[in-house]
Amino acid sequence: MNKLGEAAREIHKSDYVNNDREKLGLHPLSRIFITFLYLLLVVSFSNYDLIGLANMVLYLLFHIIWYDISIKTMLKRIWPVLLLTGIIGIANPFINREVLLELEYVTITYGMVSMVTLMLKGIFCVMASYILTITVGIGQICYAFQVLHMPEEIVTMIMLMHRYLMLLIKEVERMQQAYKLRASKQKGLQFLTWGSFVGLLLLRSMDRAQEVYESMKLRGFHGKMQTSFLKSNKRASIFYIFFWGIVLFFLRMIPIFSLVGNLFWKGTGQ
Amino acid sequence: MILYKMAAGIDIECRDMNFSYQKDRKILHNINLSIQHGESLGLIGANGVGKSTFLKLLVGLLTGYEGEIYIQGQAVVKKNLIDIRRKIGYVFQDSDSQLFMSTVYEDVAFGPRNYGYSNIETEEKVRNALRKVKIEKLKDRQIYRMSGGEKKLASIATILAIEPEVILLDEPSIALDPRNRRNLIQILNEMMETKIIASHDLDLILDTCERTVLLAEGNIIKQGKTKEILQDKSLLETYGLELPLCMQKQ
Repeated sequence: MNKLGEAAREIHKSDYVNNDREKLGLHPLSRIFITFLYLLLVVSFSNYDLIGLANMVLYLLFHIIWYDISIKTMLKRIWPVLLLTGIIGIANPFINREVLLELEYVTITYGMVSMVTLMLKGIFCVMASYILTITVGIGQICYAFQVLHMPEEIVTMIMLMHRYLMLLIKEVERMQQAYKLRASKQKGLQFLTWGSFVGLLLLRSMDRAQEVYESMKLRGFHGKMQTSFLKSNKRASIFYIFFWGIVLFFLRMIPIFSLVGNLFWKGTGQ
Repeated sequence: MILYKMAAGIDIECRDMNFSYQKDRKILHNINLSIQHGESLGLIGANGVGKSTFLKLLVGLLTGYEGEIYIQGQAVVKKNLIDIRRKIGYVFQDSDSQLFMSTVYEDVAFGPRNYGYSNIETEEKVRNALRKVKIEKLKDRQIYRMSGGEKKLASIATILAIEPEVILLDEPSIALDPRNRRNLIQILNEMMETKIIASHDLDLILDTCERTVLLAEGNIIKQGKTKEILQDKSLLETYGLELPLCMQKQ
């Protein structure tokens, strides 16, 4: 299966996985709330509080283990975004050269620390968002948005974009296969064919999107996407919010790695 | 709501209907046709004669026709489309255009949900629709993992879930293997709704429709009993068709 086919199937899966993965029957709103809280707390760390920020990895680790998410697959899927977020603080070591720590051969500056902190912030946020989408699913996320009274137009737009992306990928896959079968010696698309390929792709995907839209209209769609409702466990959802609300608060306030490091340092010192 | 008085038992009526995409090229010309309630009508003709166009006009996906089209007494005009579409189900030629949700259940439930049915009612309608096309066990199947035959049956289920009184099927047997095709014929024959089946598959038409309309160059060339039309070799050949396979063997 080629990469595009794989991508199309992944998108389908992202709609579907939540039923299998949601062991506690959590309401999507509780997951969104905690993820949002996590993002806020991660962003709230100062640019030099690298040790404090490291605590926040515990939330990610717990969810990766609990929902049985493959780290390898996760990194494979989100590496371009991670790369982009990693670039954010790249200029800091050159701007802030104030020395923080001097080891025998290495000098660590404040700029370096802030660069790593910024990178980690970005990476943590992307990973938390990924975990949310892969375990809750786009349909349930949109359902939660509707519960939150987000404007219908935005919710419908998100869902339609999700569907259009799928159509676009499928069309690219079809065209690419047809191209490859008649140009097997070529690596990728010939530069000269890019224009017609992209133009045709747009026309074909728009035709297909039009048909899908017609099919939706014929089944009563009038601009408001009805999201699916999943039975949720109210108690578990409330417990989840309280539990993770408190845990995240502690992770934000108490530098666990620093404390453990101090203990270890004292222990070896004695 | 203004209802046009139609003869008793008539579900669909077209009067002097003309349609063209471009001004100088008429796709459908002077179509006069009545379809009885519960009737199964075959629409045959070579490629590009306007079979799909005719079906799309009936559900209002195409507008701007001349003449009159009535569905159970309601004119097919913009202001009536919501009502009309509740009465008519349209099964697309390509199942991938019909199925856009992640699972069979979600797709079949899409219609009832949009029509405001509760979760319990929706579940009931989905169950009934899947039972009618005999794919109850595929309820939770992901669409992308389904075969062409399964997708076709799921497409029909998406329509049955909205409980239409008229069902339009555009090339329903396309890309189906013989077993799935037989299965589809059996399902179509069990459906009591008024049906219009547009197809090149004349054997399918022979097995499922009592009456057939032959379209060519946008005109109704002949309409009558299916068997009579489909055994007229010279007529079929004149308009780019061939005898059904079962009749060729005889």
